[in-house]
Parts: sequence; structure tokens; C-alpha cells
Amino acid sequence: MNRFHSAIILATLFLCGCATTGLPPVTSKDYALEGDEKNIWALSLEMEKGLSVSGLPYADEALERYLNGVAEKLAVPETKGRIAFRIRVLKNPHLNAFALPTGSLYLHTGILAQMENEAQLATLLAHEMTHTTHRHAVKQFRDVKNKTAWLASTIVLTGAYGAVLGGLGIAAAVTGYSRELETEADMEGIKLVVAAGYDPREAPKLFEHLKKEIEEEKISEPFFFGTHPRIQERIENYETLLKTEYAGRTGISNGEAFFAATREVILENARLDLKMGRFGIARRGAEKYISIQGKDARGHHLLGEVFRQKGEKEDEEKAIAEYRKAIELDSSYPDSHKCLGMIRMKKGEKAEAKKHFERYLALAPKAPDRGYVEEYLKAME
Amino acid sequence: MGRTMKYIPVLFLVLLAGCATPRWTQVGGEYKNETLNIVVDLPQGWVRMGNDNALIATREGLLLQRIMITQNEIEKALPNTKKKFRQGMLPQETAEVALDQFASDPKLTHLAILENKPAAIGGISGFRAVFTYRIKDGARYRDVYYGFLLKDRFYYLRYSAAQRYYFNRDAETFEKVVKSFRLIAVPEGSPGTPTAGK
Repeated sequence: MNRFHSAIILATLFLCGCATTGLPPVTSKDYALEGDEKNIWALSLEMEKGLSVSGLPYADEALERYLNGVAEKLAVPETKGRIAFRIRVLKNPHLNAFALPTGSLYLHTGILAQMENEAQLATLLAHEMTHTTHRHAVKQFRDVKNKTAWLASTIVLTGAYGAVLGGLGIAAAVTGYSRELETEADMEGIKLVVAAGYDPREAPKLFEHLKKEIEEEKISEPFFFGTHPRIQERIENYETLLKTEYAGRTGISNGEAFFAATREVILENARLDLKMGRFGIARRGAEKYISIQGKDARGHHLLGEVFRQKGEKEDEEKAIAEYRKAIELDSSYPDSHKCLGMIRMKKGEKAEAKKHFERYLALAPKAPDRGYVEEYLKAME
Repeated sequence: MGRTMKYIPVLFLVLLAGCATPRWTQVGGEYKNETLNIVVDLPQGWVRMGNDNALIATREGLLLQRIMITQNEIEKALPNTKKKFRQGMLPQETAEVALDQFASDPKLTHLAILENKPAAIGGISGFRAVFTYRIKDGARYRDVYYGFLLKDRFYYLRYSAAQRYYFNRDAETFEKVVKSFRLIAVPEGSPGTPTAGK
């Protein structure tokens, strides 16, 4: 009897395993959530809940409004009432973005900080939105299930079926889909970008910047971009489209609006990179912020911190110069005084160091690191 | 059947090996570790793990509270940050690297530094930091972290406990351990070591 039951379960499973991956997009007339898709949605909602209390969301209402505004321009009317796109930002310097099947899109601060204009942002959003509208999570889930039906049959008998396979669609959303689905997201995404009036020539530029950074920092990003050859392949795909279907097409890029909305992210992300000791990326982030907000002491101070914390002797003078610029821009900015004091003290320039430390304590009497500075002053007496 | 029986002793040995657990030793009083070059007084009623490269002690279980004392070569890459400790760093700079290691740890969320100040550990200039965080399952922890650089080594003494109930209960015990800490031998020419080795 047991053997008979197992045979029925296995047969059913193999049949399920052959479920089609050719689903119509959300925008089609026949669209309806299917059974396994509902499970994936439930897992997505759980993941969203988890992310919302994870401490990772980057809280900036104005930025979210801006990002959602761009997504709204890209969304086709047929998605209304079916998918509610919502863009959120996560504090994470790694280059990633992902879309959940429910329409929640997450962008890491790392990827936002790399972009140069709204057209590049639109390329990324349109790509991710296509994953959602074209139901890539359930397609990937079914594809894997079909290929591993024998494995699934074993798992179902041990009762772990739902837990193991149910997460596959979600995992793909975060770690990247198959080559075919990623290409579809690129191709369909660029249509949305062009339809919304953005300059399609910006599309490959986003990937060029990212490729450069990955090469320079020897990063093995397991997410959005897949492997290095995949990025190259995608750049080539876009370039082919620009030479054929979109030859001669231009559009808006909205650099100014983009930087006005994202400049704080650039600064925050450079701080995260600095904490991770990614000095090269942190430096570029700080320099980018300075190029947008040249008169903000925080940008120069951060650049000074990159030079100081890197600890190369030849960078010491560069750090000093940046701290000085920060103080010139805002004489009440305390942190640069402290750092100048530390450098001067280590160089044996006690009088100069003392002056900066005293200024720091006067400007920030409740500084959390007051104890260190008081000790420095005591040691120099 | 006979063939199956032949494998039973082997299976039994494999299962026994599978049951091997880390060796815990009751502690209380002076503990000397030549590999780490340290001597500390450990609290009565705690147990420690038998590892020469790191002292790990707990009262009721590692997830509830633990004290860890160890030292690493400063050249050794840190797992979460590319920053490195460097000889000649000020205690504040040392703390910066040590704390960024936690700030960049993907397994921790809601990290909040509550305190970061200079401290003498065994008479050596270092730092004391207090911070809270959550681990992946949402449990909240609070740590007290002492650290100092000595030549090419970074030493640290860390007390990590569940924020609710356990942290407060055993925090004082940890401070007593820190007060008792001393190095067996202090490298010659080490800066900031007025009472080290006594």
C-alpha cells in the first residue's frame, strides 16, 4: 500500500514537474495568479516583512517618492490593479537590485551611488519591473522544478518539498535569473525606457561603470550582474539594440534631478564602503559627492577620512588638505579638527594638535569620543 | 544478513564519532595560556572550551553569554572589512578598525555603538566599546569589547550576551576578568605598557 501511495505521489509530481514555464505576462488579458505562484507571492510578502524590520531600509521619504515617480513613468497602464510597484532602498554598498514578484523592488545604496542620471536609473528599474511583469520568479521556479523533478520527488516524500522548492523563485529574484530571463528583462526593459522618453544610449553606460568597478576592485558580485562575462554580454546586447532598433534614438537623461534626489545616498554609501575598507570605491564616492555638493564640509571630511584611514604615508598630506577644506567651508564642523589633531599629534606637532583637539571639544562638547581626545590632551601636557 | 552485521561495529564507531562534542572544562581561578601569552582569573561555575588559540568561556551556553579572549596577527585579513590594524595606531584608530569589522558584518543588523573610550587593559593602552545588535533570527545582543595593539598582535577581550537579563547579570563578572588580565611576557619596546607583565 505504501509503495502504491508513493507511486501515485511520484507520478503526480512528475506531472507537476512538467508544468509549463510559458506564462503570459501580467499585462495579458488571461492573467491570473496560479497555484504555485500564490505560494511564491506568500513567500515574497514574508520576505518584505522581514526586510522592513531588518534595519537595512534606507529611510528617505523624498528619495522614495522620486524613485517611485520614475517607476510610475515606466509602468505600462495594463499593470494597474494587478501589480503595485513600490521601490525601496537598502543600506548595502554591494552592487545589487532585485524585484519580488509582488512588485516590491529593492535597490542597494551601492548601485544607486554608481549611477549618473535618471535614464540609467530607469534602465535598472525597467529591467527589474520586467522580471515582475513577465512572472520570472514562477518561471524560474518551474524551470528548476522540471529539471530536478527526480530530486523533488525525493524531497516531497520526506515532507520538505514546499520549504525547499518554494524558496527557489524568491532566491532567483535576489541572486539572478537564467540567461534567457535576464535577456528578456533587458530587451523588454529597454522598450519601457524608450517609451517613457529616456535616452536609451545611457543603458549600456550603467553596465560599463559597473564592469569597471568590478574589475578594479576584483569584486565577485553574485547578484544583479551575474558573472563578469554576463555583464559584457549584456553591454553588447544593448549596443546591438542601439545600432539597430533604436539607432538614432535620443531622449532625456535628467542628471540634475537624479543627483538632487540621490546625493545623500552617495555620501552614505561612501561611508559604508569606507567601513568595509573598500578605499578605492569610497574615494570615488566621496569625490562624486564633492562634485555635486562641493560646498559641503561632510564630503571633504569623508575624503580626508579615506586618505587617513588608508594609512599610506603619501596620503597624509592629502588627508590634511581635505580636512582643511572642510573647515574652510564650515568652521563649526568638529570632526575634521579632531582628525587633524590626530595626524599632527602623531607627527609630533604638539601645539598644532592641541589647538585642533581643543577646538573639537569646544565645538562638540558631548562628542562620544571625548574620552580619547581628553587623553590626547593630557598626554601632551 | 551476515554482511550487514559485519558493518555494524563500523557504523557504531561512525555514530560515536558523530556524537563527539567540544570539550568543556570547569573553570574558576587563575587560567594561564602560553599560546595566547595571557593570564586571567576566570569566574567560578563557568566552563571553557579547550582551545589554545582562543579562550571561550560561558556560564550557561554560548548563545546566552560568553567571554572570548584571543589575539591575532595584525597582518591577518579580517573577514568583514579590508581594513587592517597597523603598528603605531592610536587606540582610537584601533577601535575604528575593530568596530568597522562589526559594522560590516552581514550577519548583524541594528548595530549601535553605545560607548567607545580609551581603557587600560593589563596596563596597556587600548579601548573599551559597548555595542548592541541583532542576529539574523532577531535576538538582541549586547557586547563589551576591550582591545589593544601590542607590536604585531591585536588582543581583544569580548563579552557577548543576550541583552535581556543575561547581559546585566554577568557584565560585572566580565569586568573582573578584564581587571585580572595580564600578559605573561611583554615584548621589549612595547609602547604604553607601564604595568604589563606584572
